[in-house]
Amino acid sequence: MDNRLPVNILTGFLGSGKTTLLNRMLRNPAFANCAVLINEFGEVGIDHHLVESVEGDVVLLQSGCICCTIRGDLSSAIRKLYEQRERGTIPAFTRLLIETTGLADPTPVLATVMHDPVLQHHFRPGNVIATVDAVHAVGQFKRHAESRKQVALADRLVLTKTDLSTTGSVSSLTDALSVLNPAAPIIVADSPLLDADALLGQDIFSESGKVEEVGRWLRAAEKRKYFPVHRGNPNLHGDIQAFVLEPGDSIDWAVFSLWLSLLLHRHGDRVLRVKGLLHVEGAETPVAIHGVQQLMHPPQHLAHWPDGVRRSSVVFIVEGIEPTRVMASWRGFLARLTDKALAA
Amino acid sequence: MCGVCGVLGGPAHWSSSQGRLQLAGVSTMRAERASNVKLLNRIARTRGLTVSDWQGSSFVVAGATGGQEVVGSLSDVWVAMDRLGGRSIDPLADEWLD
Repeated sequence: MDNRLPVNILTGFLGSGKTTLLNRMLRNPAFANCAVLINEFGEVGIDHHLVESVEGDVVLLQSGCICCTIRGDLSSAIRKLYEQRERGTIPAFTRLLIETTGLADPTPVLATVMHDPVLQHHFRPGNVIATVDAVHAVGQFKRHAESRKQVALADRLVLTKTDLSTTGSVSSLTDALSVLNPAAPIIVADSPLLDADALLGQDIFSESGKVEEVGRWLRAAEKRKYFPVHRGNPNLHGDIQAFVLEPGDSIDWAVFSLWLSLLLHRHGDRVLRVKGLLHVEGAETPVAIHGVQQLMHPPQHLAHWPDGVRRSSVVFIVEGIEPTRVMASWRGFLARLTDKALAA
Repeated sequence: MCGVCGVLGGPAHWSSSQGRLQLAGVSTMRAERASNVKLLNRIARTRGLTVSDWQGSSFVVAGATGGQEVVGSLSDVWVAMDRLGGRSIDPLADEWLD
């Protein structure tokens, strides 16, 4: 069992409602025992219900959460927070939430959590949550590559300001979002479905929720398979698109992981996300893989196949890469690197 | 770090199944590395290179002119192949394995 503390990243373009969502989350008792790292108190405008200054720039919120600003290096900020937790000078938080700036790419934050030599032993990545402004997102997608990438990298999409938008425009936006990131559930911000469990609780690392999480990817992928690759308005998506690779049954893990490793070495900056489930030769249960750009998580077994369907399926979200090339590359690799081909 | 040879150890590469996956037929780390080296050589030969295992802890990438690099992880193998082979290996290029 993974006892490391989950780290959730809250991202979203400028003015997309990250602050509002954060304030709402921090009022909810289900989010108690969170530590929140933000960039600037003033910029975030967190509610003035701070009750106590604990130590340095750390403050204790009414909900029991602690909150502090990132001053300088992110890695140092997280280490300092963890040291304070271990010394008992701040409450023993059970989750860390990091809010990025509106123009940030969340990947370096994930890289810090996954690869920092100290942090990787105490923290693990959790869901990346992206807020999407229902009124302005379409314009932002056209003008700002960062806004497209934030959506493509997310595990949960929270649609804000839907009350200020028309039903038709919300519908075309959700269509665009499902092209950019078919595997991420879209949750309307003022919906009762927006609860702690939907946002944070079910992730690929949680023992209770990982089969359901992978099932969500695959159900979304199943829908996606029947869409033409360039469905929708390319102006909204830039060069980002999603596709499904079905690598076949009884895959040799060494062959597949070598191919994916090489693909990410050469094109990792353009392979924004990889999520999938594999039927691996010699394994009795399915193997889940997932990663962000070059940051792949180690493979892990699931207890059973979601929905009882045994089929290898990998969702790729790529930028400026033709899906048919990736598929052809895998097929060519497989044909040449089987035992039979190697013996020839 | 190994006190005898000075090789730096590091966390296992994401692709390693050891301690993570239960796979029938892949019993040891050495067996997995041997399998990986065989596959890597199929790719390396397209650039006139060879790859071998060194003490179960590193890979040695060697060029046709005698140049060698000892590297720690699979990610480093690709970098060494690019350098010693003179050009990057692109798995999306046509006929890249020919």
